[in-house]
Amino acid sequence: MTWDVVVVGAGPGGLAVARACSKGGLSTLLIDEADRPGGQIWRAKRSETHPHALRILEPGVEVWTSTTVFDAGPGWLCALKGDETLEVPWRRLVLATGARELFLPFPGWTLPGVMGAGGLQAMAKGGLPVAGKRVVLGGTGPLLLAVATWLSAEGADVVRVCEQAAPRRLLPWLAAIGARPSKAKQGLSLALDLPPAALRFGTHIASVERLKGSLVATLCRNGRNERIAADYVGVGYGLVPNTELATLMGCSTTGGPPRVLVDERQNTSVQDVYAIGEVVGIGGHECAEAEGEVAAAAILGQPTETLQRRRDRERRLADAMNRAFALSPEVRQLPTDDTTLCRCEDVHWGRVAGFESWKATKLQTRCGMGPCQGRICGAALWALRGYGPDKGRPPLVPVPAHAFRAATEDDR
Amino acid sequence: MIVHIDGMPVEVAEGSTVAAALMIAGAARKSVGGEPRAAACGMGVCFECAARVDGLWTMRTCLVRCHEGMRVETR
Repeated sequence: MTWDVVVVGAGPGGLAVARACSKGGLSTLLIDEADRPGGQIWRAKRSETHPHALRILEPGVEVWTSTTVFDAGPGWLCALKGDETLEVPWRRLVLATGARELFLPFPGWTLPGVMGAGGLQAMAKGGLPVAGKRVVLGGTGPLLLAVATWLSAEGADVVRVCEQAAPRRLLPWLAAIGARPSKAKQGLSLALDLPPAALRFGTHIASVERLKGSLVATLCRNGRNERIAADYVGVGYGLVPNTELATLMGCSTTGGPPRVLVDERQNTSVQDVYAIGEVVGIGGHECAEAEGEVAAAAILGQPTETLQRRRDRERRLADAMNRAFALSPEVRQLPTDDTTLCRCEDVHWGRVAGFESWKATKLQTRCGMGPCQGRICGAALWALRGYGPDKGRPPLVPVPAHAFRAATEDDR
Repeated sequence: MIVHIDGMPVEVAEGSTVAAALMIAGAARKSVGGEPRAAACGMGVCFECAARVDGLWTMRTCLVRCHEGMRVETR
C-alpha cells in the first residue's frame, strides 16, 4: 500500500505530526532508527519508552522502530530493519530527522571514555553504570546542565561542568527565558541541583590524556589550566541538524552546518516533502512539536496561522539561545596538527590544512569517507572552517550489499 | 544476563545496549590506524561502537539491545 504520510524520525516533532495526520484520517507510518519512539530528548532508561513519548503516541499511527532509511526518491524510500530491506511508497514525506551533537576535535577526544555530553547520557541510559564514577563535562549549551544534573541524580560524581560561553554572553538569552516562567523554572531547577563548585563558565576542555588507567582532562579558563582526573569525559558543542536524507531528496538548505529551508507551512523546496524540528534549525522539543502540528495542518489542508504564531515564538527563543552559545575563538583552535579529525579514516588535522573545500579535503585525504560518511568530521569542518558535506548520497548508512541491490534493482 | 564479547562472557543488566556492554567489558574497536576506539555519540551517528553482532557486520551497537547469549565481535 502507499502511505498517505510517512514520517522519518520519532522524536517530539515526528510524534506530533504523525498523531495529527492519523487523527485527521490519513494512513500514517512513523519510522525511527532507535528501538523506542521518543528521539534523543525523550529517551528512557534501559528499554522503556519515555512517558512523554507514550503521551503523544497515537494508536492509529503505524510505528516501525529499529528501522534505518538509507535511500529515497520522489514517492518512495528504502529502509533496513535488521537484515531485511523494506520499500515504502508515500504520498507525503515529513523529515523529522533531528540533530546530533557537534563534536569539535581536541587532543584526546578519540580516547575510549571520552564521549559526547549527550552521548554519555545516552550510554548511561543504555546501561553504562555511572554511579560513583568521576565525570567531567564540557562544551556549550543548556544540554550540559541537563546532562550534569541527570548524571548527579544517578549517583555520578560530576566534578566539573565547563561551559565555554562567558556569563555576559548568556544575559540576553536569560532575559528571554525569564519571560517564559515554565522555561525559567526548568533552567533554575537544573542549576540549583548541581554542586555549585563544579560549574565553570568561560572554560573549555583543552585536552584529555590517559594516565595509568584514568583519564586526565586539562581545563582552560583565560589561559590558566587545571588538570583533573575522570572516569568519563563528555564534551558536546551544541547540536547539528541531520540533513543527509533531506539533501539526498534534493531539499534546499541554508547556513553551515546546513539546515533545511522551509516555508511558513514547513514545506521544503521539494514537492510533498515537509521538514520539522531540529533539521530546520536547532530549536528544542517545544518548537519541534509546534512545527509538527503546523506541518500536519498543512497536509490536512487546515488553517495554520494560530499554530504558526506558537511556532514563531519558540523559534525566536531558540535564536536567542543559539546566539548566546556561539563558539568562542578559543574552542575553534583546539586541534593540533596531529589531532585526529576524521575518526573513521584517522585523518589528522594537519593533513587537511591545505584544502579549502569539502570535496578537495575528501578526495586528497579520505577525510569523511568512512562509515559515518563525514557526519562527525564534516560537521566539525563546517563549524571550524565554514565548509563541509552538503549532500547526502545513497546508501545514507553502510548497508549489506544485498539490501542496496534490492533497492536499486527495481524499475524506477 | 550474559553476553559474549570477543569470546569472553560479560554480565550486563536487562535492557542494556550492546555499546554499554562493550564499555563495561573494556572492549575497544581498532581504528584503521590501530588506535582503540569506543562509543562516542551514543545515538547511531559516529560508528565508533560498530561491531559484528550475532553474525551481522557493522552494527551500531548503541542502537542494539543485549539478549542472553548474544555474540559480539569487535574485530
